[in-house]
Amino acid sequence: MRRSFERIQLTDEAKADIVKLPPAVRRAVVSVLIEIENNLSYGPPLGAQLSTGDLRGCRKVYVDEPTDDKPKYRLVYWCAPDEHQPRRAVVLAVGPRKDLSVYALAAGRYNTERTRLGLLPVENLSDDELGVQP
Amino acid sequence: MLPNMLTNTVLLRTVDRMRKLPEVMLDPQSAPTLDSSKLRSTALAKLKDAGLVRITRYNETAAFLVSPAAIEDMTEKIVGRAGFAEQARDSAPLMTLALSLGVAPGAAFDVLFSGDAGVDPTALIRLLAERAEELDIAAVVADRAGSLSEPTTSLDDFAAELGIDLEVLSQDMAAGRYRAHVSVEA
Repeated sequence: MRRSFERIQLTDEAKADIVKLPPAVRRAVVSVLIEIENNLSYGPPLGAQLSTGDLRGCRKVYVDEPTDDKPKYRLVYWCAPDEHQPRRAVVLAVGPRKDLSVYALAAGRYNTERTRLGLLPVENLSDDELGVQP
Repeated sequence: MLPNMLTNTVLLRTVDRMRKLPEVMLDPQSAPTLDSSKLRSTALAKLKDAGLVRITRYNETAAFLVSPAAIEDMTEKIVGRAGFAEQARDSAPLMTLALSLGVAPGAAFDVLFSGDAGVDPTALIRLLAERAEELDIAAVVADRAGSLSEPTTSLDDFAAELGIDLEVLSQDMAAGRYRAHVSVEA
């Protein structure tokens, strides 16, 4: 029986990010998504920083094709609806770490996605309300 | 501040009053200059009148004299802006509600910032009340529930679009035949 991957959700923007990657990196990203499907807490949690924006409630994974260099790409996902009881991983952005732009993209999409689901913007919520460790 | 700036007419080349403080702060070089023979009393008189005086030496800005009133004015504006930012932030839930009721973002912003004193949440609340009366709320809730349950693209579908067989990749990962370069360090 074929297994179904129901806990991973991709926004249109994240799909576009992945499509732009080299094929070998795409495969690596999909393998990471399989890991996240098995464990929503796979990546370490992100916080609120000036350089990246408010990404509390989101997690990151460094990923690259099989290589000896440091992973050059970052995948940011949101454990929705919150870290108290995460039910799915919404992939927000995937891209090179260079100049941290992937985090800025993710921060913008994070609130867009929250608004779409009728949730408050992350800036309006405390760590406790988001279910994250301060 | 330059030493003896106001009494040494050799060092003090030009003095002029600045009426528009923000413009001068943004573009100091655009400020006009005066003859070099102005004395301390002239500079202080202009300072009292204008609030800000630019001191130049050999055509380059050497310093600004700012009156206490101008400093207080700037401080008030800074404090006012901080309060404005806080008000705008507090209005975020109303904005979210407006968007979910189908109010265009531009229209919601226009109403929210229509007050003379900055943010006017009461105006937005009035708009929302009008909007709610126009809508069949039951239909809105049903529509919202539908959009919540509507999934974004699943991994199965997307992997197929990429030409990747998830089942095969999963088996390769489990068997150690494929391992991406991944780091999950904090």
